[in-house]
Amino acid sequence: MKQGWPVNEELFTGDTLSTLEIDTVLVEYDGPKVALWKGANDVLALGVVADEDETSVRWLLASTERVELDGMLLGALSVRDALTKHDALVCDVERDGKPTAAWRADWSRIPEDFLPSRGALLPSAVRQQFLTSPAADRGHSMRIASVASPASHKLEFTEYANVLTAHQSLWTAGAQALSDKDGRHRGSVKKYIKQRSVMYASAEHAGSFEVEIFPADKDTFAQVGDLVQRITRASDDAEALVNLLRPLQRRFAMAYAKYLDVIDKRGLNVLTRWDGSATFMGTGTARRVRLAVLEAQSMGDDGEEFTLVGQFVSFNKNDRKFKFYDSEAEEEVDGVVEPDLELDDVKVGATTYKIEVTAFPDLQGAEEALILTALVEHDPQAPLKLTPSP
Amino acid sequence: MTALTSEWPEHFPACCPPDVAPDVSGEVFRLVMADPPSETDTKSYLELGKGGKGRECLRAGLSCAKTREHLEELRALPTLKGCKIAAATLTPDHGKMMQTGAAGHHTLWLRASVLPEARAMFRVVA
Repeated sequence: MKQGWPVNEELFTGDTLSTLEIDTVLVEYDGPKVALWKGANDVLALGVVADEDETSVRWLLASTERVELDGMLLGALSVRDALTKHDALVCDVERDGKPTAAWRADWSRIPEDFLPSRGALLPSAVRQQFLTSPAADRGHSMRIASVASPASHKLEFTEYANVLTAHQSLWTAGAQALSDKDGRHRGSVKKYIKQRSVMYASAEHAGSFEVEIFPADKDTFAQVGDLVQRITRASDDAEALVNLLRPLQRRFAMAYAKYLDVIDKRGLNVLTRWDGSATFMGTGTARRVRLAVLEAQSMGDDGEEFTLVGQFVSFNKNDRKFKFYDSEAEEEVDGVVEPDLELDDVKVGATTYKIEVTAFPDLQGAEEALILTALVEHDPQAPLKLTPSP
Repeated sequence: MTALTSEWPEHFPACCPPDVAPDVSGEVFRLVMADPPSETDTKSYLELGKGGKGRECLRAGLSCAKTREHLEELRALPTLKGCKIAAATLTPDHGKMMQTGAAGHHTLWLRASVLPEARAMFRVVA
């Protein structure tokens, strides 16, 4: 084998080695190069040949779920991202296929030469073969798997609600960003955009936690999906990511960061599919991609300014924090008053205001920080409206 | 039938290549380490004594691809990153080739009469 392997790691022993065998070869050239391995209890592992010599082949293995395999076959998940989400299992296999030794290794210590290139997908011939199979024909759908309980397909109600909400917010923000290429629109999402980006579900595919999606507008769904896919693929390239995000509204970057935050904190794998395309995000990569998106968004950025119309739900004179009901978007937003802005008597709930805010990314909390820079009473005769309509 | 079209290398196992394998025709692509390709670059695993036991007919052939693009994608994998892509324009007189195993992978079986010239058939293109 070549030099540079972190060989002084914990040696993994036990009966597990004897149960390991190749289940399906995904890529081969002068022997298998990428394969699905099966171990005890039919646990699947993705394996990539990292090194070899005259007598043995060295594989990198990582446990894999079906949703991740489908993500790779649909071109939504790179081989490297599918492989490097947990600690590596490095396994030496004799030329006759018998595993002889294995040990755990930290991915960060494995030299780049022994890893698949960043962003590289399974070969197009492999993906094309999958697209022609019955398993690929799932229409518009969203499969959610919990890392904590992949076999049972059980999700907490809160996990389910949070990821669906974040998913809808992301698609709405994407539709708004794509319709406003010159970036002149500020503030709330336009109602016709909301209507076109709404997604409905009426059933789950039997035997899985896969939701069948009925988008209000299939073209909008596909365009936003393609956008999310491009940004995910660019997450390893800071310059490419900045160039992709620059013409889009900050709302989209924030919605995407929020979506990734939900996936990361809830430990989920989510595969969204439509017309042979897909986006995948798993807990193993969500944190990395989220930070890349937020940092790209903040590069040389002085914040995004926009105007909201509505009423204050709360206003704290001491810490200068507020909650404001945006009557156009029909949602509440949180913010803080700019230090230099002096405010006399802010009326809570009784008066409609037009406020100017500047939004900055918050790298810690994945939420936008809204800074109130100006306000004016908009229409003192406007009806009182503190909560959104049901 | 002439000797050219009926003779396979002695190290091929019986009934190899398979009867269903079609004659090779057109451009064929292979990953090689050297430019120009070395002797090792065009020797099969069976000739090199690699690949373990079983699947002897496959190991008697050479891994190839019908498209350059497929090999360009394979070069993202660790053990293939440093490889060059070589191409050869072949005819039925050279041998047989068919898709085997994973999608995109083909096995090329060269006839005994052309096997000594295998290295010269391929030229590096990328």
